[in-house]
Amino acid sequence: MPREHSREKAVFACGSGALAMHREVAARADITKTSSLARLLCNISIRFPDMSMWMSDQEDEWALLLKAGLGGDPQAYAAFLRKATPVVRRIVQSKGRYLGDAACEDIVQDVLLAVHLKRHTWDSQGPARPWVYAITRHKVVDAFRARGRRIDVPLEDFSDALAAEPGPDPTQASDMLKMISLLDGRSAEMVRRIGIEGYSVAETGAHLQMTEGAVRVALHRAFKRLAALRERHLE
Amino acid sequence: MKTDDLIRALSGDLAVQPPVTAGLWLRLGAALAVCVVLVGVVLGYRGDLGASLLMPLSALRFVLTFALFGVALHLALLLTRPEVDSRLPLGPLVALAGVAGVAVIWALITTPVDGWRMAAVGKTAVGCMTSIPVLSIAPVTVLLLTLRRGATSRPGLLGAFAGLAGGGLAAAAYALHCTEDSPLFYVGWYGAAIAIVTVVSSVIGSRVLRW
Repeated sequence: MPREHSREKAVFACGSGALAMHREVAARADITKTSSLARLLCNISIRFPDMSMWMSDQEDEWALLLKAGLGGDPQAYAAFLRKATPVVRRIVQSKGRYLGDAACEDIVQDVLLAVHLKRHTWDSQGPARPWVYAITRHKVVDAFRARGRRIDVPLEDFSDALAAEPGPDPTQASDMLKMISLLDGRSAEMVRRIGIEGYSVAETGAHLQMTEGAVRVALHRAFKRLAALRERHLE
Repeated sequence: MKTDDLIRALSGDLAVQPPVTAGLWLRLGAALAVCVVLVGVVLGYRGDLGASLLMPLSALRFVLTFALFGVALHLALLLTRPEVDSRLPLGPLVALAGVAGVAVIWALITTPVDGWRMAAVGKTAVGCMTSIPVLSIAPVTVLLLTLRRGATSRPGLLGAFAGLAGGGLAAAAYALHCTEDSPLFYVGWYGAAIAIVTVVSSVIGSRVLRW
């Protein structure tokens, strides 16, 4: 996917403050029409070279990606979730190694689902990291309580997790597919087609003979339902 | 399902979500209207309502209860964000308690000592203690339902603020009926009624505001 590739490049280049790369990416941005986020990042760093200092803070990268995502850019949103995932995973694994990888990944997915469903509680003026941490802490404590253990997730754990290498997606989680199969047939197919088979929302709509808007509405309901099913499953 | 697959699916759902406050004012307005109408129909407004508003100590009931509503609602909305938990700006709440305290001291000074007891016990304490909690059902319900869309880290505390805000609104409506104008009465009795609402709402909140 060339679009996504050059975005990642742009984020990286602006973040590291490498001016030459900025220009290169900016030039490429013009040619390949990268998304609004990449353009924004490059505009900012070209007009205000000093901003690269500010950009180097990972915090702002999360916030910028999330803001672009909530503004309707699915690739930026996915990039944000992929940045957050290793941090969440580290927290979960450090608390629950004994649960096994698949169960840990279940909890990671619960956290991501909660981040997604509560995205309107993020204050877009503020940083994204503390918000993600708070949701992670809340859902992880909850998940362990449901499995019969009280744990504590102090904020220092997150700075440890931050040092973690963002490794590859290690495992299949075990529960989410089961939960998806509990959805009504159409919603389940929608989630599977978009998530696992990688079709776009538009393609899925065409396949199911629904408008794109209808797919989005149904997808949103499906995720809410999934979160509720997970909750019940844990109790 | 791989986590990356989930992420792909999630990024297909980017419909704009309205903020927690969406529709809140309309619903609170409706809840207040219900309270005001109920007070008018069931209890009746006090006869000298217009004149009483010009008496500072009587009008102070509305000021204090509305201010409590505003301050508590502000705190509640802050608490719907998951990262907000302990560093809450409680200054305004303390200031409000301070104003109520000063009003009580003022009343103690200006009321002859033999009148203290009568002013504090009043004649309508039972009505006050039952009416305010009953009236608060409407605003507290509206608040708890709205706040459920938030993502609080402190469900019980958020429930308590919802109770303070809703109780404040209910007390303001009740003040349209109540003729006890001494702070010795209303600070204590309104305060006690609102405290009951707060405790109940906190218990309910710790259940329904979980997510």
